[in-house]
Amino acid sequence: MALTASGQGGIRLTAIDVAAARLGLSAGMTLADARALVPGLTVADADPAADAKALAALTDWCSRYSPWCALDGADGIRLDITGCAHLFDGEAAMLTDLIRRLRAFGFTARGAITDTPAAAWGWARFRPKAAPPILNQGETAPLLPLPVAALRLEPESIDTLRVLGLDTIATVTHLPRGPLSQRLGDTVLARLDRMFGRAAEPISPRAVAEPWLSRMIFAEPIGRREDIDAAAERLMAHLCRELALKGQGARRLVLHFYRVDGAVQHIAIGTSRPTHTPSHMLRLFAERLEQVEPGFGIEAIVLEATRTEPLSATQGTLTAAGEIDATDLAGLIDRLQNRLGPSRVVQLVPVESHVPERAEVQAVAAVRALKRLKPPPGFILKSARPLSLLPIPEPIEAIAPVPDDPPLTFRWRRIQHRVAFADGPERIGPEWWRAEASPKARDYYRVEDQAGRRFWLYREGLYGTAEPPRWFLHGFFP
Amino acid sequence: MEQHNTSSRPTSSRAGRIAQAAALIRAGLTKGSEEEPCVRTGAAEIDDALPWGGLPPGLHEIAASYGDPAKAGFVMSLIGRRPGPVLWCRSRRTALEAGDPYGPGIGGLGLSPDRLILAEAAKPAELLWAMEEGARTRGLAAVVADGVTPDLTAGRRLQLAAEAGQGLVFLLATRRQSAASTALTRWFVASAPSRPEADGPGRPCWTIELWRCRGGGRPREWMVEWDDAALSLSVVSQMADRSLAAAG
Repeated sequence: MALTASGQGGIRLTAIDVAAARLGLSAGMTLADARALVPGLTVADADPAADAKALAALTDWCSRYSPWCALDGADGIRLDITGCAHLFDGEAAMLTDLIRRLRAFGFTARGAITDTPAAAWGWARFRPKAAPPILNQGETAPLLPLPVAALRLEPESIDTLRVLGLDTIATVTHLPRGPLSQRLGDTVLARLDRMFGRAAEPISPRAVAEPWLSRMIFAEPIGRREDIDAAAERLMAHLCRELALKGQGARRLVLHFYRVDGAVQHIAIGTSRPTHTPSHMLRLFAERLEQVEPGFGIEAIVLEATRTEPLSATQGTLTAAGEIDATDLAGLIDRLQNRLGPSRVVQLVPVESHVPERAEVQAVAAVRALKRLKPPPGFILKSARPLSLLPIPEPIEAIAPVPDDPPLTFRWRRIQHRVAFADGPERIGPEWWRAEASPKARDYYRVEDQAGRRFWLYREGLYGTAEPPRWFLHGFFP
Repeated sequence: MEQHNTSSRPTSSRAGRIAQAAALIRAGLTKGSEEEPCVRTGAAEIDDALPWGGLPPGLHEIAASYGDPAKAGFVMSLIGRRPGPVLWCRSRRTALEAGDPYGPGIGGLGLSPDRLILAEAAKPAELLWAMEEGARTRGLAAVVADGVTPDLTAGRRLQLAAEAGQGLVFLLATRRQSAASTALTRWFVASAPSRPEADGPGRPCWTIELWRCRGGGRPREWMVEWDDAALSLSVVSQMADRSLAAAG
C-alpha cells in the first residue's frame, strides 16, 4: 500500500506501509518505478488536509498526558512532560503507554524522551534499533553517531554536508563554528544548539494551557450516563475547591471526554458571573451531558475552567424582601442562556439616538447591568413613545387629504382603521452622519382609531415632491 | 405556605401575619385562596372583587384580541408595582408580529426598562421551560409569556412552580381562550376610546373583564384609565355585570 501525489517528474510515492517497505519501496520514488518493482501495489491519493486534521485531533488527544502539546511538522507531536511523568508511573511507563495506545489506534508511532525537543525529534526518528527510547538527563553521547538528517535540516543542506563528508552529528560538532556558519548558513548551528540545549526551543501548545484543570482517568472505560454524571460531579467538586482556595470563580467551563477510540468530545458552558458552586455547574451541564456519546467507552474526563474571574466578596449577602439574590438571578440567566442561546436572553440598553429604532439595543443579559435599580439616564421616559415597537416598520395604505395632516383612515394587515384623534406631527430627522441612514425625514403621529386602539404611524417623504410619501406603522401605545 | 411576601401591605404587623398563617394551616385551606397578594391593581373596585385583595402568586391569564396591546399595557401596569426583575418570554413570531417592549415607552407604565430580561424561545416547550425556571426563582417581580398556550399539565406545573417561588406568572393570550385552564384568574382586556387631550389621544383606557376567578363569584367588567404621571389605575365606570357568560 502506498500513497501518491504528483511531484517533480510525475507521480511519486509520499508514504508507504510496512509491507511496501519490505518489498524495497521508499517514499519519493516515482509511481512508475514502484509499479515496476511491485506490480500489484495498491495506491491511493494522499490527502494532506485530512492528515493534518487527524494529526491535530491526535494532538488534542495527547493532552491527556500533558497540557503542553503541540503539532510538530506534518508528522509529529511534541509534548512537554515536565512534571507530568510521575502521574503515569514514570517516563518509561508513560512512553510505553502512549505508544501502545497509538498503535492500538492503527498508527505507526515512534517516540522518544530527551532533554530538548530537537533531540527528541532526531532520537525518535533516527536512533539505532537496539537503543532505548529515553535518554537520561545530560546524556548526549548517543546523539553523536546519528546521521546529520537527525538535525532536521533541509534536504539541500544534508546533501551539502554529505558532499563535504560530514555524515554524522559528531563530525559536525567537531568543526569550528565560524567557518561552518560561513559555509552553510546559521541553520545548522542553530539546530545543533537546540539539540544540545544551548539554545531554547519553546513549545507553543496547540491549546493554551490554563491552570484550572481537574482530571480523572478511569481504570476501566465508562459509558453509562450515571457514571459520567458522577465523574463530572466529582471533577466539579474538586475544581471548585481549588477555585475557592484562590478566591476565583469560573466564567467558562469545558468538559473534555477522551474516548477509547481516540476521539475527544468537548462540552462548554458559560456563566454570567464567576461561580465556584458545584451544584450550579452541574445544573448548567446537566442538559448538555446527554449529548456525550461514549462510543466504546470513555477513558478520561478533564474539566477545565478556560476563563476565571475573582469572586466578589459581596456574594451571599442577605437580601431584603422584594430584592432578588444576585446568585439566584445569575443562576436563572445562566440556565436560560445555556439552553436558549446567549443572544436570545437579552436586556434593553439605551443608546443616544433620536431615531426610535436606534434609541435602544438588545444586549446579552448579565447580572451586573441588572443591579442598577434606577432607570438609566439614556432612556427618555415619556408617554410620547410607544409601549412596543415593531422590529421592521410595516407599510400601510393611508388616506390623508391635507398635506402635513394625519391620515383619516388607514389599512394595516388587511384591516381598515378610522382615525378618531391624532397628535402630531413630530418630525424625526435622519442621522445624516450615518452613511446607511435613510435620507428622508419622518413625521410621526400618535393616532387613536374609533375602536380605541392607539398606534404610532409615520410618513416618510413629503407631499408635492417627485416621489409620493409613504406611510408606515411603527409601534403601539397601550 | 408559611412564607409570605412582605413587600406589599405595609400596615399588617408581623404578629398579625403569623396569626393569619397559623389560622390558615389550622383550617387546612387550599393554597392560594387566602394568601397575601403579590401585587394589587391599585384600583380599589378591582382589588375588592378579587378574593385575595389583589393578585396572589400563581398563574394568571390575560387575553386580548389579535394585535391589541392592551394586554401588555395592563400587565406592565401591574408588575411595575412589584420590585425586582421581570422575565419576559416570547416566541420569535410574537416578537416580529407584536413587537418587543420598547424601553423608552414602557416607563410610562411604571416599568423601568432595565428591569426587563427578554428571553426568546424557538419552541413552545422551551418557552414553557423558561417560564417554569423563572417562576421558581425567588425575587423576580413576574414572569410574562407571550405566544404559548400551556395544556392542563403544563399549567399545573407552572402553578406549582409559581407557588414554590412565590412568583407571579402572566400568560398573555390572543383571543379569549375557551379551553380549561389552571390559571387562578382569567382576564380579557381591550383598548377603549380615551378622553382626548388637545384633539390627540388621551390617557390609556381599557375595558378589563375578570371573567374567571378561582373562588371569586361572577364575572365582572370595568372601564379603567391609566394615569401615566401618577402611575396609577383608576376605574372610570363600572360596567354591567355579565352574569352567565363565562362562569366556568
